[in-house]
Amino acid sequence: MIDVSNLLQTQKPLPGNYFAYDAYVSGDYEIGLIENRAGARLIAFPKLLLEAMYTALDQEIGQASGLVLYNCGRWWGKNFYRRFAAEIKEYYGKPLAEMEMVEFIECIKQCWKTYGWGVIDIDLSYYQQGYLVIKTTYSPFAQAAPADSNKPMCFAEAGLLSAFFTQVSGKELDCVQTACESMGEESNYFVLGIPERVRKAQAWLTEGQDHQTIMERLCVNQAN
Amino acid sequence: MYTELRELLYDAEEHYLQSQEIDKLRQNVQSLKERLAIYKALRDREREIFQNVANQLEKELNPQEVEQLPKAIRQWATILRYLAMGMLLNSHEFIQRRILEWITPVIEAHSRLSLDRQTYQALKSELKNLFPEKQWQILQPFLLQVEQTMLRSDETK
Amino acid sequence: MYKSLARLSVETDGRYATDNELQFIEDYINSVEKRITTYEKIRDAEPKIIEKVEKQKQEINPELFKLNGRDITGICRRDMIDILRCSAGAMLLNEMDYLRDNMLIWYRTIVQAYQYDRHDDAIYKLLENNTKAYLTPEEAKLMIPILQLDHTLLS
Repeated sequence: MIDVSNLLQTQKPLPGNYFAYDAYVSGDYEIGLIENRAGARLIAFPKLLLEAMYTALDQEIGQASGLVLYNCGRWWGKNFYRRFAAEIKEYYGKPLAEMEMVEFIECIKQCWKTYGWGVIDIDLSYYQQGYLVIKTTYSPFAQAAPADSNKPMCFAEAGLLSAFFTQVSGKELDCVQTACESMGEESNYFVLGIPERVRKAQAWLTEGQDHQTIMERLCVNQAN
Repeated sequence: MYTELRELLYDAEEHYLQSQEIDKLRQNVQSLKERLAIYKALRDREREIFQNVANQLEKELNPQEVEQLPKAIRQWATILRYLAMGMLLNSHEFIQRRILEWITPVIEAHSRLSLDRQTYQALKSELKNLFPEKQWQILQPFLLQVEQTMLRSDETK
Repeated sequence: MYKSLARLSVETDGRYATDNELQFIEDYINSVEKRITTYEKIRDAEPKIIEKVEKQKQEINPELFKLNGRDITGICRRDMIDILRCSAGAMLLNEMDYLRDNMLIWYRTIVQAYQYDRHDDAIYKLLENNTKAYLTPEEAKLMIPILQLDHTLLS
């Protein structure tokens, strides 16, 4: 017989959606601070600041600004992973490595949304070929990007994703953005893979190939 | 509760509440009183409710499903805890955001919808037996919300 | 109540709340009728309360209606009416925290900017006394802590 008393008592409280925004974010009006439920301070970026970052970097360093933002994203992603993993472990009572894949994916989706970074989806269908495809929509980074850019502009997000999934997988991963809302696409696509393979996508992107074509070429290339 | 009280609060900033609005407050507080009683009953009888569900299902399920039963019981106890709070706050949104959004994909991935459906049905009839009709009427819409969100895909199969 | 319920839902995440944690709901249910009569009395007496406060303020120091030589009687009256109404609403719905966060802290910035807070000590004492005059001691017990919060934060 199942002893329910034992079952429910041993591991309570039973966790729900840790990143639900009403539980996750709290603020103190008097001192003007916002923090998350782990007690860590949060910072809110006004859209104007993001826009200014693109403009200022473009004026200061021109072509290199993408790389700078990507590297900022890498740094940010490393710290983000550390916090994310610690908070998850504390709340769900098990380390990320022991979490079911679906639980992990749901956590990252909820977290992404609560942080105001839009909606994220993780596509594992290219996993066998060694690629991970991330789709985001309503990205504030894309929204703040200059409208006349003719290339994907979510460099910071790409850097964040590469560092984050490098930590998750334990393998060095690079990230190439293959579609961007700032160019009128419905979503942003990011392809993650080991650097020498995924970098090929960059050349096809410069040729003007779309996300689907790039994915097909990456997989064909892989098969050869 | 949540939304209604918040609206009254916003209205009270704009103007002094008049008798109709104050009656609305009275109704809300009366409803809160009933909800609180249901909440406490769910809390105090949690183990009994789920022990009955487990006992019944152990008799009905195949051995493979019985093996998964403890996990299912834990997940349904989690859902009922959030449901209880959502019912107390009279907020479907609370239940959606704080548990269903997160747990629905997780449970779907376990591909044990048949077991979940049976657990839910056993839980539902257990609760229906436990509560008098008036209280059941308050609780039922929240169970329906859970059913429609989580077990819908089972129906389409 | 709304803020307290929201806080409860976070603090008891994943478990049932204890009787102790739910006590504030019981207390509210038991006190709501008293809160309603208190609220109605303040609502109905509001014009008289404000009038008396203004009159007594004038008696204490007519300069209180002036800011850098400008007559601010209208502004003072509007603000006092707003503060009393929001305070009564906060008492009715048991929302001290909301009042503090959403009105008083904002309003304090303004009175401090005009350095009017030095006068507020006298004024909020008058508001408290004149409101109390319309309430039974039991009713006053519900309302006075709110007016004292106004007093503390704004002076």
